[in-house]
Amino acid sequence: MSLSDLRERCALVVALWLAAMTHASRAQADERPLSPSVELLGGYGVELVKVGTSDPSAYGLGLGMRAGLVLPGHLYVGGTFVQQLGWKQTASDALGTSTYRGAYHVTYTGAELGWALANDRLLVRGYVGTGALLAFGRTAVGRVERRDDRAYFYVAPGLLTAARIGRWYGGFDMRFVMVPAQPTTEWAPALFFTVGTAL
Amino acid sequence: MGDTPRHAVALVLVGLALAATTSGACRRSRTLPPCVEAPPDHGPKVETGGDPVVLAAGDIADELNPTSAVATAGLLDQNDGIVLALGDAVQGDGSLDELLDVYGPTWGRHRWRTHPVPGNHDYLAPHAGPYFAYFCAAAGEPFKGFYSFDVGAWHLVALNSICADGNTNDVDCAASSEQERWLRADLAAHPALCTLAYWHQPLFSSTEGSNTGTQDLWRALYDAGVELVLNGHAHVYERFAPQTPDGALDPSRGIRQIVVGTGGAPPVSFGATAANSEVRISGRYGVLKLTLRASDYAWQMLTIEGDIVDQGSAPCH
Repeated sequence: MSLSDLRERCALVVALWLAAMTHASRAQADERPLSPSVELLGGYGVELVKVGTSDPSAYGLGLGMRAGLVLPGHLYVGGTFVQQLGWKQTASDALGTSTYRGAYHVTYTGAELGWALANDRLLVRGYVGTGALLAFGRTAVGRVERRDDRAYFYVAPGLLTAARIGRWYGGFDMRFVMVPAQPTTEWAPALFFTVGTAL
Repeated sequence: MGDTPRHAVALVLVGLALAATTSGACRRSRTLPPCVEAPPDHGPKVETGGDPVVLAAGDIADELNPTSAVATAGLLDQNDGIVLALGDAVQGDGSLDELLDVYGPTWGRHRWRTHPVPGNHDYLAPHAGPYFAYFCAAAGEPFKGFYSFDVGAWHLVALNSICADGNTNDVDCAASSEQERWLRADLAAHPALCTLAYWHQPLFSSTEGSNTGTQDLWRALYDAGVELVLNGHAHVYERFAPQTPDGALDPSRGIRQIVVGTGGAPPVSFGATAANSEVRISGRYGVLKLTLRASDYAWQMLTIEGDIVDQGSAPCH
């Protein structure tokens, strides 16, 4: 996917969010806070600007969980854990005299603070997450291995838009994972399908 | 337990199951060619029946321009001798897929007689792992990329010029680095009359492709009286007069540098002519053929059109 294609898709998603946000704002009077809640996330992240020059993307398919609470005043507090499955490759010759293993993935976990609006049919939540992002890398040729494990601080603004059916809700969570690092800031947009339930 | 907590527990369990089942979803597996390959029954051989021959070029297989590497591989098909791949065996991301699918069908059929060095594209894959796996022991110790061997009366030294960048290459080129200390020890242990060193990024170039990070390695070679340095990286052919590590003309003890980045990657243009540059050719694909005699050497630049666009000879120091 080219950068321009990605921009167009992001613009479309943002437009849909804005429409949903407007709808939810009009319906605030009917709000019943979803407090507390748990969610599953499954989606895809794209590592557009990377920490370092390594080519394999450490993002890709991702799975995660989130738990949160809506406080009075629509304030949302929560925590999230996401594992991006990244990239793995193995190779060997027929005799096993040469082997290669490469594996790169990231895991991040942190707290989220945001603002949630909801009515009977719709949930919209804008938030900013922050915490620790761990990048794991392995390259092994034969029995010789190199590791590229690094820990970073991340900031991830995002927006969840979900449809509600009773206590359940499902929708999309778009976030931008940013890792302030030298010489450049890594950022990776990610879109997750989200299913959750109010407790 | 009410319905809602049960739903929440079920949701979490579903998540864990999904994580377990998809954790290997992104894994890809490839088969490497055998590390030890027998020479083909028909075709070129390492032994020439006379003086040893070296065929060298860098910057080879380009997925976007594959026909050029096919043509330069054809030159290898026609010539006996050992093959030196002067870095950037592949022009993309240095992945195993590229090595197997783009380099493999061209220069890859001469892997059994190839002695490679890593290039900057090889290091776009972390630690150049695919490069070391593909070339096996011929690339030296994994993740180091420097080694030496003898061919006839000559001592050949392969060096890693992708100097430590703090990311995924941990080989340094500076004085007192592991590589530089190994080089000085290797040269002291092999006091051959004639020595050839080769690596990817040249110290001198009339293009933008020079790398001063290799100057300390060059100094060690100069101190040991090395004759010849071969490089790639700049997608041109360029031959220099014998020089010191600082670029001063030194016909008696200097090292001749020849850049042969003509293995298949798209050519680049020359900029301002570097000092002591004697021959500059851009836009031609080909292979440098060296004949290594006991006390001198001869070179011919062979192009895919069948021309010899540069040739000469020089004595060892």
